[in-house]
Parts: sequence; C-alpha cells; structure tokens
Amino acid sequence: MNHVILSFIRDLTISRRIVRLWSMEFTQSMPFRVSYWAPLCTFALVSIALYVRLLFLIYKRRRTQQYSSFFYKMFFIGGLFDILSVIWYILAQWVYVDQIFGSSFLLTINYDNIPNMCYYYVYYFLYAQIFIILLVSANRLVAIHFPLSRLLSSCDSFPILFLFLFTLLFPILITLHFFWQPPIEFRANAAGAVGRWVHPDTTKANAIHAMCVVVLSTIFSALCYLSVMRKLAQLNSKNKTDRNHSRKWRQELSITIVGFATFLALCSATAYFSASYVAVMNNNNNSTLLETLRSLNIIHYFAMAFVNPWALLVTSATMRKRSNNSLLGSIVDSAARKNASYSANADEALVNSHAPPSDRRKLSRDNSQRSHDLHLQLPDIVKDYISRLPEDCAREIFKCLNIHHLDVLKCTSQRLHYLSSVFRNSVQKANAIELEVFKTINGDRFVDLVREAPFLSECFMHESSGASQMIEYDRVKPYDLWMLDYKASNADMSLIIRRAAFLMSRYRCDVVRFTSVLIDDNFVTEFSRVWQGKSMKRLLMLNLLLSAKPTVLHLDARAIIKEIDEPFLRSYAQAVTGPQLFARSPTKKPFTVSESFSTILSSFDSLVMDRLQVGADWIMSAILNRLKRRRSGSISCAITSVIYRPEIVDRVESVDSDVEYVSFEGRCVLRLKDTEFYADIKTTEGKPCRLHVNFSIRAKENVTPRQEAPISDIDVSDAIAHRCAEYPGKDTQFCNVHDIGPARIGFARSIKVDTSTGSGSRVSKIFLIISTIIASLMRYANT
Amino acid sequence: MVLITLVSSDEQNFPVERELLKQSGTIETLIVNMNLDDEDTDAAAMPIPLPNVKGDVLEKVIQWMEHHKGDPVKEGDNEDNNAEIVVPQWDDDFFKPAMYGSKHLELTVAASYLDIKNLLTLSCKAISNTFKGKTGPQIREEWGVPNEFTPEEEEAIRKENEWSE
Repeated sequence: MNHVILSFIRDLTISRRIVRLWSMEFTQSMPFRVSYWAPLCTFALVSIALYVRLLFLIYKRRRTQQYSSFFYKMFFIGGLFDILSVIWYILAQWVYVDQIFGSSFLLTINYDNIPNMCYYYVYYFLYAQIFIILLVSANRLVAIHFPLSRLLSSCDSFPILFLFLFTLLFPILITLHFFWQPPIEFRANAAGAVGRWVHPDTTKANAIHAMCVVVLSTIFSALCYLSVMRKLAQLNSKNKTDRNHSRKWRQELSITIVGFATFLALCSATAYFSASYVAVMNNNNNSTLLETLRSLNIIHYFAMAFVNPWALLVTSATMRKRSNNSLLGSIVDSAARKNASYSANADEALVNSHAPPSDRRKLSRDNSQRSHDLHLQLPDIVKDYISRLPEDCAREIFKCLNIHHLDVLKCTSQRLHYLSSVFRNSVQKANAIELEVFKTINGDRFVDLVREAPFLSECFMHESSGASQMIEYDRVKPYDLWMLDYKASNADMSLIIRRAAFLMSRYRCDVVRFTSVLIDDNFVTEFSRVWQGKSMKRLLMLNLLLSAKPTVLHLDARAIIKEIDEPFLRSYAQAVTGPQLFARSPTKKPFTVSESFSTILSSFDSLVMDRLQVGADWIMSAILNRLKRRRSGSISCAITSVIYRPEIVDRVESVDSDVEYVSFEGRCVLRLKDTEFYADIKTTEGKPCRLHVNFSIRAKENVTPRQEAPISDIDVSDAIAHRCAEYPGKDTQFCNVHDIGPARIGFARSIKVDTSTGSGSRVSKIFLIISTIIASLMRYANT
Repeated sequence: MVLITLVSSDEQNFPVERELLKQSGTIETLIVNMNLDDEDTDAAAMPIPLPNVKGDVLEKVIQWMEHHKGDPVKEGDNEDNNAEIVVPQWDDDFFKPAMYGSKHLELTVAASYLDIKNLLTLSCKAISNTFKGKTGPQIREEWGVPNEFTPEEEEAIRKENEWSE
C-alpha cells in the first residue's frame, strides 16, 4: 500500500514537471504514469458507469412527472457533457502530456486546429457546466420559493432538445474571443522535447476571462442557494410533520442538495481560476504556485464532472433503489442504509402486516420521527398501495363516491389528486334543479344553483306526521336556494363562467339557464374554453365534460351585440340533451347567423328567436337535416319576426316581389313521421287560430295523397288553395279556423293573401309563411 | 362436474368447477376460445394460466365465486352511477380482514383483470366506504399514504375546494 502511495506521489511530482510544458518548458518524453492514472481512471470508470446508469434510469422514466422536470432534464444534458469532457480530458492528457504515441506524433497533428482543440476544450466544457449550474440554481430558487408558479411549470415544459442545443451554443457564445487569439501549437525545443505552446497574452486573457465568469457565476449561484436555504429553514421550523411526510418535499430537498453540491464544485473551480489569475497577473507563469495549481486542476475538473451522480445517489433513496441492480448501487445503498439505521423491510412489513390501524399508526409515527432524526437520509419506501391502483380500478372506486368525497380524497396524495381530476365525471353527481346565470335579485345579479336541500328527507319525514302539513309542505318548494356571495356585476366574467362550468361539473342540473348574459367575444371565448375543460385542468384540475347532460339549456340572450360564433353554438348544442336556442334581441338588429350555421342550427330541438333572417336555402336544409337525422324528432320554431331580405326574396318562389316582410306570432312545429312532414301551427292566443298542415315530400308519381288523407280535409284544403290561386290579391277572411283541420297545400305556391284587413289576417300571415316554408321544403326535397 | 384448472403466477394449480368460472369474463372468453366446453376436449389437461394473479389472491377469488355461485352475472357498464350499492354482510366479512392492506387491493386488481364485475363492484364499494366520512389525514393514516404535498400545494387544494362550499 505504501509503495502504491509513494508511486502516486512520485508520478504527481512528475506531473508537476510536465505541466511546465504549458508555459513552454519542454521535457523529455515521460513513461506512461501508471500509478497516477490507475486510481484516477478507476474512479472515472466507476463514476462514468454510475452516471450512465443514472442517465439511463432518467431516460426510461422521462415521461413521468418527476423525471420530466427541468432539473432532471438539465441533469441529463449535464451528464452527457460531463462524461464527454472527462473522456476528452483523459485522452488529451495521455496524448500531449504523457505522450503515449511519442513526441513526434504531436508534431504530425500540428494542424487543423487540433492543438487549439486540445487547449480550448477545457474552457468549453467548463462554461457549459457553469451554464447548467446557473440554470439549476435559478430553477431551485423558483421551485422552493414559488412551487406553484407558472414560471416553474414553463421551465419544466421546455423541450430537452431545445435545452441541449442552448447548452451546446452558450459556451461558444461566451468564448467567441478565442477565435481571434494566436493559434496554439505543438513545438519542439532544442533538446527535442515536444510540448504545447501558448502565447503568454492568450494565457493571461483566458485566465482573466475564466476568473470573471466563474466568480460571477459563483456569486449568482451562492445568492440563489442562500435564498433557498433560508426558505428551507423556514419550512423546517414551520411544519416539521408535513415536511417529514412529504415525498415531494424530500424530492425537492434531494435535488436541491445535488444542485448545492454542484455549486461547491463550482467554488473549487472558482478558487482554482482565481489563484491562477493571481499567479498570471504577477507574471509567475513558471512559479511553483502555478505549477502546483496546474497539477491540481484535475481535482476541480473531476469534481465538476462527477459531483452530480454521486450527490444524487447519496441523497436520493429512490435513485439508490432504482440503481440497485448495479453492484455499485447496491454498495452505496447498503452503506446509506447502514448509516441511516433504517430498515426498508421493516416498513414494508409494516404496511403488509394485518396489524390493527391503531398499531400501524403508532409505528408510522415512530418511523416519521425516525426519519425526522435522520435529516438527509430520507427513506422513500413506504408502500402506498392505494395510490398505485390501476386507473380502471380507481374509476370503479370513484363511481361509489360523490363529489364531496372526492374533494377529501384528492387532498391525500398526488396520485389520488390526479385520479380525482381525471375521473371527476365518473363520480356520483349531486342533483340540482336549476343553474341560472344570472339571477337578478334587487338589481344585483348572482349565479344561482337551485338544488335539493340535503336535509330534505329528514324534513319530509318530520313534516309528514300530519296530512295537512304534508300538503302544505308540497306547496312550498323544498329546495334550498343557494346563492353565491359575490355580485356578478363586480366579478370578472371569466370567473363567473368558470364558476358556472364548475357547478355544472358537480351537479346534474335539470336546467341550465343563462339569463341576461351579454354574449360577446369574451363570453364565447371563456365559455367555450371552459366547456372543453382546457383551462380548468390547469387552474382547477377539473374535467368539465358532462357525463349527464342537462335536459334543457336555455340561452336567453337579451343583448346580443355580435354574432355568436360557430364553435360555441356547436358545443352548446352537443352538450345538452334537449337544446333550445332562445335568442331575443331588444334592438332592431335581427339575430343573424351565417350560412355555415345550418348544420349547427339543425342540432337544436328548438329555435326560439324573435327576429331571425330566414328564407335562404340553408335554413331549410338545416331543418331538413335535423328532421332526417332524427326521424321521429321535431323542431319547434317560434319566430315572431321573419325578414325576407330583398336579395333572397327571389329564392322563395312563393313570395311575390312586392312583399317586403311578413311577421307572425306563433309556434311552428315541424315533425317527420314516416316520410311525411307535418306543420303544426299554434298561435300565442291558442284556440281560434289553430291550423294543422300536413304534406308529402314523396315523389309525385309514387304518392296518392288523396287516398291517404280524409276526403273532407282534402276537399277543404284544395278548395282553399285553388280559391287563393284563382284570386290573387283579393281579400280573404278565414273564420273558425280551427274547424278547417289538416289542409293539403303542397301545390299552393303562388298564394298571395292581403293581410291588411279582416279578423283572419293573423291566420293569413301564418298560412302564407307556412306555405312559403313548405314550398321551399318541397323544392329542396325535389332537388 | 367439469373441472378446469387455473394456474396462478406462482405455479399453484386450482381445479375449479366450470359453472363457477362463468362469473369471470376473462376466463369465460379463454374457455370458449380454447374449446374447453367441447366434449372431445380434455379440460383437465389444459390448465389456464393466469400470470397476473398470485396463488393466495386467486384462492380468495375462487372462495368468493363459490359463495356467489348462481348469482346473476352483471353485464355491461352503463349502470346508473347514482344507484346505491349495498355490500352484503358476507362480503363485508370477506373483505374486512384484508382491508387497508395490499391483499384487498390485489383482490380488486384481480377482479378487474379477471373481469368479475360483481366482485369488482363490491370490492370497490368496500374500499370507497373506508373513505366516507373521513378527513384527508385520516385516510392517509389508514392506508399508509405519505403526504406528498407541500404546504403551498395544500393551500391551493384547499382554495380549490372552497369553490364548492
């Protein structure tokens, strides 16, 4: 042993002589320093193997939340640089210091920047490592101080390729001045010894540059870690129990320690370059101090390169466990376990055992206390089975819970928090009667949820003791009016929309009512976004897709200032069971929708609009599409004002050019039964203006309409139609309209009814509009 | 009585009545695919390997199936979420000894793997019952779940939950 040590010291002394080559002091070629390189190479090989193992583990788990963090990405990139730099360093030392290929070989490679590469690689890798340390320091600062910040999540989401390229380019950017420095050469002196020649000005300039970079980086890094330590100390004193239980906290602490260890390695580099700077500035290029420093540069070089894997292995029990397959990992793990006096088996046995909960709690407390005493030996081997359940099993469990249980469950662990968010729609929703945005009470607007009172059943049982009380109870709405504590007028619209969407995710509402909502771009954007659950996943970790659709969605837009956009209406229509579009405009401006809305409008069961521009083909196609898709469905159209714009009048053959507009008040229900459409018209006044119309869209050659309908009805309808056709422009009065019954008006395309006089004017208007619609329908069907 | 042999992951053999195995969708599919129902096929000579189920867990599953022999097999997955499921007393006693441990959860996972819907439903219901009326720390203690949240995260979740109250 003594012999080995003495041999190492002798070779180190030789090394000190050799480094004089740097300053143009040539020596004769030396034999390869076996005793010098043997321990260093052994350490380097073991460290590189460990490093590769850790990098492989990180790469395998790169999709997980933990290992996709910014720290591990930089760890991975730094690992590649560290391994490459060490290999390069050793090979370069062998070639031009130990001269394993002989001195003449150096002279043969004295071109193509190879000497430059043998000199500058030190700085390149040094600056790359410093860059990584700086980034990790900043990341630790943010992670500890602002663990929920957007900046941290943004850092974590950086692509690793981007970070790698940035790390690759950064050292080049700050070493651009190297390109203008005198070239480095291998030269032979008079005695025949070959060595590397560096211009003294280059040495001086680079010493100053390196010293500045490392000192500034060290100061920045030191400030970051000081702040981090201060915060950790605060957390430590604030809540010791939580600190010890928190796996996340331990992970953060572990990687902070790794970052700090790297910072210490940077400090050693700072010390080295500062001392070199002092020596160079004092023109002591050949001084003993400089020689000694240069002989020790391998220390900071290896420290910078290998501090990361060893520090991570020592501080992270998870990493030790995962690298346990390797011999080294086992050795380190066992040593760490011995030091920590902690038995993994004990804990496993604790969880696996069928001991009563009270005993387990006691043991758990003991272990927590023990882990608290161990400080940095933080075990991470508690068997948390419930958090490791497969997702399909978790979903089955959540089905048996309601939303309030889920709120509790998601506080327990990260995994359950995640699962609670994913399967939020699988859980039992509370029933609610109505959600209204906004409820106006005394001039203030609220988001109201009308739900069943939780005490309803008890209350009912109590009240049902007497028959009279029971009846009284039925008259009173047994609901609990739930009122939000803030006023809509003072609240941010997006907050209100999110609130509404949040409630819809928690309650199965029979009716969701939006009343007096200003539908503008903000509303549409916010609601569409919330509906798709994109923003909520981030902010509230909720999935807002409804598992049970409300039966009616009632959009009462009293102040439509802009066109409702297509995606909004589509998601609206798709999200509810019986969608109604109820749009009212107080202004003269009609509710206008673009032609592309035809498919969307066909998604609605009911279109209730006071002013709607119709008459174009697309509205007909929308209705037809709807009816064809839902063979037994119906569309309720309550259009109180229909405007035929002059430019589309020519498309409606049944309307004469001198009709500017027609309007009616009533309800038109178009139904499809078998192959026949039925138009059921009801006026708001009810009885006196009731008219049923049915018609066929079959091809004429295949239809025998007279045989399908009662003869009396056909006669009446034919008579009306022919009468109207024979006397266009004449006053027509309809009396006792409800007696007419079904009328076949399919061919009555050219009816013109003067609507100015007579008690039947309203019916005439209805007749006209229906005939127009049906004519268009038939034309569409024929085409 | 036709016996079909099930082989657990630790190479234990369990001869089980054909009738019992109808409760398991996975095994039923295997039996049909392997034509074990055919009279010409020697079912005893063709054991069914279940590499994802340990012997002790499979034993419990068979025990449960024996007790529930003849029960209607639940089909489909569209039942109403809000329907209240009651765990019968026998099943409650069956699950209780292994509750809060890995065995119960392994049983649940096995039920999911073997596609035994009734067992899965009851097992999950039994697990969910342990969550009801408990606070987060209580659940953590009972199930050995470590607290992984920083104080800031806990505060954020608390605020998140306040939306509903």
